[in-house]
Amino acid sequence: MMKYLLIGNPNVGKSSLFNTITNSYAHVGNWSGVTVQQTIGEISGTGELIDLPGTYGVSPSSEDEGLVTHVLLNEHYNSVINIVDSTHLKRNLHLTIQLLELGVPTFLVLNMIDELKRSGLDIDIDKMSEILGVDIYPISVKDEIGIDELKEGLTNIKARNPLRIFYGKIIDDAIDEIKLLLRTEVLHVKKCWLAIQLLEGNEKVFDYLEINNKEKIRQIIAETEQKIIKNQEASSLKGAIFMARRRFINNLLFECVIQVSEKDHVKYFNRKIDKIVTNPVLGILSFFMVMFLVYFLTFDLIGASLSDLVEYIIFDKISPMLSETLPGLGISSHILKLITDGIIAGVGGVLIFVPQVMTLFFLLAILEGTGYMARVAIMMDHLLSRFGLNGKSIVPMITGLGCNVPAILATKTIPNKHEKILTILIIPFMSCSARIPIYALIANLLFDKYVSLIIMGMYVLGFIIALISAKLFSVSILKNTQNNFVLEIPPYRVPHWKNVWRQSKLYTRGFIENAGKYIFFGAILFWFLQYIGPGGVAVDSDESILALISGWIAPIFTPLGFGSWQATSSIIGGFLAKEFLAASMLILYGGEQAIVSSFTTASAISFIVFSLLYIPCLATVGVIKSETKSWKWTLFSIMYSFTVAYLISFIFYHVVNLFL
Amino acid sequence: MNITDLEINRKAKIINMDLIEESFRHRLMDMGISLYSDVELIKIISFGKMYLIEVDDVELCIRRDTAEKIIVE
Repeated sequence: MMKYLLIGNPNVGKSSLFNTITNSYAHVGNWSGVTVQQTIGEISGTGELIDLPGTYGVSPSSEDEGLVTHVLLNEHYNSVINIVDSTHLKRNLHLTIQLLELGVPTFLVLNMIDELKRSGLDIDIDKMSEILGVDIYPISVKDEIGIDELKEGLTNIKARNPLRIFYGKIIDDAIDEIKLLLRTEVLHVKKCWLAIQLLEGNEKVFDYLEINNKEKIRQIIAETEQKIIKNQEASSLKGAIFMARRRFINNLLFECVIQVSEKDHVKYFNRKIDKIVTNPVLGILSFFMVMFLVYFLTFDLIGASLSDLVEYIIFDKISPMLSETLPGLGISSHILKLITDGIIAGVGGVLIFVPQVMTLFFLLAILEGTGYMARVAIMMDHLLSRFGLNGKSIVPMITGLGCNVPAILATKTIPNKHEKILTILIIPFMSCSARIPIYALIANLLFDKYVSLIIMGMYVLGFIIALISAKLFSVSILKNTQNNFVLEIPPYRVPHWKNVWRQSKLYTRGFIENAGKYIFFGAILFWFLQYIGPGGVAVDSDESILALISGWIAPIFTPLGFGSWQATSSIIGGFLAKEFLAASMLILYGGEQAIVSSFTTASAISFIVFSLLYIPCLATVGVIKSETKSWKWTLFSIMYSFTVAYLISFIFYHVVNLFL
Repeated sequence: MNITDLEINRKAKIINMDLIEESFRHRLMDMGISLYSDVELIKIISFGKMYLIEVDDVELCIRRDTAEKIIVE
């Protein structure tokens, strides 16, 4: 089975190519400790294709977190497929050169050849192929040109010589020196390539070398940089390498790119559409309209209906069916309860989210595919950057108003790791729709005339706390270099449907597999705690272990005004799913009257505020873990939100008490 | 003169980027913004905070404070 690596810049149609030449059995591969992923698919009859994250160069970057270097050095593969955007060769070829210097069998695929021709240019493929020493395939995935030739060509994997560029005497000498040092290492990658990568600053390569040589190599690198600067060739070693490559590329393009006709270069930043989209007033307005539409389709129309359907099938059909048939098979009533109230509840708890998650991903993928999201990120950036956030954080944040779970999954689009974690930490403060029942319950019972005001107040409070937290984190534990924003503007285009569909499927599957397991086991555990008590099994709720635990914990909440075991139990239940808060309160207090008499104005406000802010629900915790891949951040999120909730509720309780 | 001093559609060449800190400078380099690149200012948006520029045929958007640090002629 031949193994091909698919490598290229972001935005060159890599995913589209992947989807076009592989069949539908793709799956996602994860590399431990990083949040990027590789997608692996099968080219029927030929082999396996591994799609690596888009990256501008081989050196580790926020886009790939070092995955490309890791794979090139560690994985066994037979060939590299480098896809480039023919209309932007000047920039794309930098990565190409780094790949060609490896000397492994490579296929150079020039995508968007139709657009190139439309702009009046053409490429002398034979000449370019000769200069670069690699087979070249001009294609257009969009217009389906050249795909068959490529598929056929892929079956013919040929050895080739590494590309050699003149980097100037100083650097070339340094390359030789490093090669000499490396001769004792056991490596299956060309030493020349390693030397160039090391000089370029690829830290990841150092991880694979023996310790003895590292010091000496670093010394050579430092000395070489000094020489370059002294000689005024460039202001840094990387700069010198970059410029040598650029000279090579300019010469290559001069030789191989032919001007067939004079045509104007169409800018991606569309004068007409973008004038509206990026206009401060109209832009934000149209953005909110778009988000409202997405929100409506996801949580109201499609998502909700499908969720209801799933709920109906599981709880109204499957569950009763099991209750009827299983006893007949001799299953004890306890196991039956475990299955229906524990396992089914658990599985149902996961599956209920699936339609919404999938719909949301589908719609967001469409928006991303059209190029609209890049404009949004630009517009929002100057506002959000004041709080240490990225312009791209706006979409996950707004999504969080519907449900935190897909919102956190949507942070996949934030390339910078710190900004991504920052966004994930503040999303739980965005008041999700599951909290509405508890606001409504308390507000209606105790604040009759001010219900909408209170509920709106909760949304605003959540948003404010989110922004303040972001600012706090960005100057302390998640410090980030301020000026890190640079975004490439993609053209507006019709999204590739196969891509959109594949992406939604892939992410949804990831959700079910990762977050799913936490929700599942959590639900079973919770069921267990309220099923068993010191008095035996299948006890009344107020004699269960859960009630016992709640009783012990309740005093913590006395300073906040609601130190009862019922409120505490509900809060614990609310961890499982925020919707349970309201339901539990009614059940455990035994009715509305009891609630009214147990809460004062101050304690009611403090309770609502606490419900808004305290720890994310179990499902959310599940996705936080799967998106950050870190228990540290997950636990931090839980503790931080609990602390914030406690403090703010405390303040509200006592301040309100003072005034009333 | 830096990028913020350019007029719309005016072309220039980047002659110095040392004011930008090294790791970000390398990132910009990866994306195509480097010494001796041709740069053209396309538009200024978000109340003067975001600069849309075209560098070597690639359209990019950067913040104003970054634009101020890219010296051109």
